[in-house]
Amino acid sequence: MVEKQVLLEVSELRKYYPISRGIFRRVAGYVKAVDGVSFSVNQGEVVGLIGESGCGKTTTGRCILRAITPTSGSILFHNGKAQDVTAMNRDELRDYRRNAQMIFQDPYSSLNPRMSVLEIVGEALYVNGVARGRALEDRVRVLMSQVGLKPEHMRRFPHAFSGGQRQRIGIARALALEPKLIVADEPTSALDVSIQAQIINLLQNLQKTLGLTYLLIAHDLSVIRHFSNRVVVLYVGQACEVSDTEELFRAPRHPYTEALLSAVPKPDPKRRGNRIVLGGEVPDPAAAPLGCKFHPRCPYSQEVCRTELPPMIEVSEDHFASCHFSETLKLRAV
Amino acid sequence: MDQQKANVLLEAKDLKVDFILDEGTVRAVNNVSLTVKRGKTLGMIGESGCGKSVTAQSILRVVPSPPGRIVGGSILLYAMNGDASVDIASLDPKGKAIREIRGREISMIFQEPMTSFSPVHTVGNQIGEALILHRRFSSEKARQESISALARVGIPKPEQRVDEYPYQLSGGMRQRAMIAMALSCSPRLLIADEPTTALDVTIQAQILELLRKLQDEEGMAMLIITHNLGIVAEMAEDVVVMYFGYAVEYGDVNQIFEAPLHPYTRCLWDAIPSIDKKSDRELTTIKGNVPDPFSEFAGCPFFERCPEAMPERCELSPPPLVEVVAGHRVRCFLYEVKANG
Repeated sequence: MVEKQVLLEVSELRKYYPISRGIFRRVAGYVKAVDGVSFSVNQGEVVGLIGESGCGKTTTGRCILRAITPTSGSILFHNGKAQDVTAMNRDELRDYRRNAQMIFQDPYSSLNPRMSVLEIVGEALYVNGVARGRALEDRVRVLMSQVGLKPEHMRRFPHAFSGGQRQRIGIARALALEPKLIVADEPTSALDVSIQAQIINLLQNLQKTLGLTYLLIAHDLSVIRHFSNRVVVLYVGQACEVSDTEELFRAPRHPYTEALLSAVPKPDPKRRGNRIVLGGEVPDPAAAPLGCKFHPRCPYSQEVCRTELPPMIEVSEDHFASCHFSETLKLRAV
Repeated sequence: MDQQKANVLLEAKDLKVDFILDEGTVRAVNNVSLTVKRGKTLGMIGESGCGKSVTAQSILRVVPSPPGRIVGGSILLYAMNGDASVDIASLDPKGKAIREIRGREISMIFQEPMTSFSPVHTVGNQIGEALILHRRFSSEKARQESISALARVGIPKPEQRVDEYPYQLSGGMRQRAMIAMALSCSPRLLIADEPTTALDVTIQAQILELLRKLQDEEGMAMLIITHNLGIVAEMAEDVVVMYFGYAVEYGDVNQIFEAPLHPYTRCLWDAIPSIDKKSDRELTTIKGNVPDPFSEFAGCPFFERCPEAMPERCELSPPPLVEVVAGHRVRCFLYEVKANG
């Protein structure tokens, strides 16, 4: 077994947004979008980040790319030496961003309609002084064929492409600088089923041929199971379970994971009606409950859950869960 | 046969809807036939642009017109005892007859509850509107009824919520309020167009549970439009698969999931990753894209993407509708061969 090489280490990441009130814009509270999330991503791995809206998965992804600056915590990126992304200066960030790129959810709003594919995909190459003129065009040609687009279409504008093809343009743009890490934020959720499969296969093939590492943000659990090696489950800004994908789906150790797996409608009419339906709603991250964030909706909650925040504990090798009863609860798999 | 007929609530026969635009004509719905049974759920599945929403809009006669027009076929809504029927397709879309049906006999819930509520009226006023209109309730009585409708869909503190505006409710609550509005006059058919697409998984589970519970209580039929195979498997008794304006396959939910017949249905089934097991194989993809809406096909619209296409045959003439097993119909040449010999 090859020793796993850590590429990215996120620890105690926090991002708070102040809420201001009154004429003096007095700070009245904080939206705790991400509230102490820790996980690591190994070289060549696909780590899935799952959770419902408002759980902080997109904020986490954006902090990792320093698209936004986190309130506290560290993000170590190992590229030769370990560097803290949160403490990088302008020049260091420029270097870092050659190694860490993003693919967006919406293939319509993420491409500038007034730029041709050549300009969109080639922009990063040009700005970073990697290639100019003929060499730039050649490189864009290679990138386009890598993602299954016809290189002769490089002078066309985004409107001339379908949703799936636009997503391919976004992928080519992310690949342009040969990054090590790609943060893919819901890369397939705006696409139709038949197109979604094409994009997943493409991302998977690129990973194999280019040795990429993905942080895959998604809410579709079947995509996560198909594609990722490890999973981080988020709930209201906190990680409630971090585990190997197979183990998570076979033996979840946090009641929220159990409910999430069970809530997904399965494409099998024989399994109808056999699921856990949670009451209540995802709490507002500005006014999250005390103790375990999940306790108001948790079917197993006890007195202690109301007052004490459960620590993240290793329940088995490389499988972490933050639940007071993760050792004793018998939870259902998918 | 009569027994079977008596179970039918709504029957669309060879429905055709065109959109006549400057750029050309979009044949949004092509000879679609389907049946909604009393008290049962029909799941309509397909990708974007397959005509599923237009079919639903035709049933309520709310297809934007111009440019949309029903150019053929009928939509029969049967009365309680199953003899008399109204052809919705032939009614005047602004007339009294269809307005008697909308909201009372058939009502609809939408994907994005925020855009289908009026932002400047309270939730209670919007729910009560149909009651005042169809049932001639006084406004006080309509308000009381709205409160109990909100309570029935599981909204906490309904007497307070009834006076709030839609923006004050969360996404899940808004969808519940919309269901309350749609069900205020106890319709016989509820059309749900992607009812949970905008919601989170755990909230989606709540809404599906609620719809099923209300269906049991009210005995209403449902037409659920979705692109999510899981929702269809979970909710529907019968399924219709749409592609490019055609109903390519129609059957009972078990038939469709266990033995899908149309190559498109089979491709769709293989294209979704499984949540139950990890497989190392690649996902099956359907080559190419959904055709441009202006395209015209002499033959089968799925021909270019079909893994089992028969060049001469499928390209030249439209595929026949074949009933392969009782109640399981498919629009494909592959089965014509089998049926004939």
